[in-house]
Amino acid sequence: MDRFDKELKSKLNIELRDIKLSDEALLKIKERVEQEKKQSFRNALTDFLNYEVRIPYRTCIAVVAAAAFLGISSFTVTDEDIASFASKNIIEVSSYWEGVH
Amino acid sequence: MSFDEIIDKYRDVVFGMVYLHIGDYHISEDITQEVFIKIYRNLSKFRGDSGIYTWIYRITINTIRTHASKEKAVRNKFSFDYMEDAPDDFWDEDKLIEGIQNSSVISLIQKLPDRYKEVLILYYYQDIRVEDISSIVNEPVGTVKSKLYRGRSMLRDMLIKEGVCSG
Repeated sequence: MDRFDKELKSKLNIELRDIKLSDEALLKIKERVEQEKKQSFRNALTDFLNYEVRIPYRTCIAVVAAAAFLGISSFTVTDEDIASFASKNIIEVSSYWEGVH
Repeated sequence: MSFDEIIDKYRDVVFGMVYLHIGDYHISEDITQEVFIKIYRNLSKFRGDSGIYTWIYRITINTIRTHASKEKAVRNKFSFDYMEDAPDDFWDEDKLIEGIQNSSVISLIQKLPDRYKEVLILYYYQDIRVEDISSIVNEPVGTVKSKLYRGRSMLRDMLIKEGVCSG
């Protein structure tokens, strides 16, 4: 910066020293920001309430099929089940059938 | 930086910039209000690619431009297109300094065409580097330098006239 630039800058800053945003204007800004905050909360709430869950029917079928598979497989008789059943109930069952015959 | 901190730090600077462009206190207050509302709305989108002051001044300049395009009558009240670019040593420095002392620099800047005004305000009032001004006004560095040079020449011409008349 040369002398002209320095003098100009200095004079400009002196002249602008008293040019300030009024407190009323600042208050208005803060009020508008508060309104914006409320509005954005309202919009977010509306968006949330209006939200629609759209699931494709193929996904539904796949989920039902998976649930059915898991459900059935949980009822599958294992070797352990047979062993447990045999050790506990076979005598009673056998004697029942003997009695019948 | 929170919005409240931005307001505290930049309220007078932004207002000063707007006032230098517009020249009307109440309209400048309205525009400053718009600037801060825009800053509030976009604060979450600020990614920090540039300094926050660059971002704030860019919003300020764009808001002023929007206003100026609506108020075409206010723009370019004076035409300096007839002016020839004069070399720096063409001006008598003492007379220029005398002009600065004797005239209102604010009102002289306000008389400049918008395209030069915004660059000069950023350069003299905010002391911003040419590279950053280029980013704020979204123009190449060469264009900014050229505008700065021309705007300064216009200002010098006015200062000589004003200073001589008032001094």
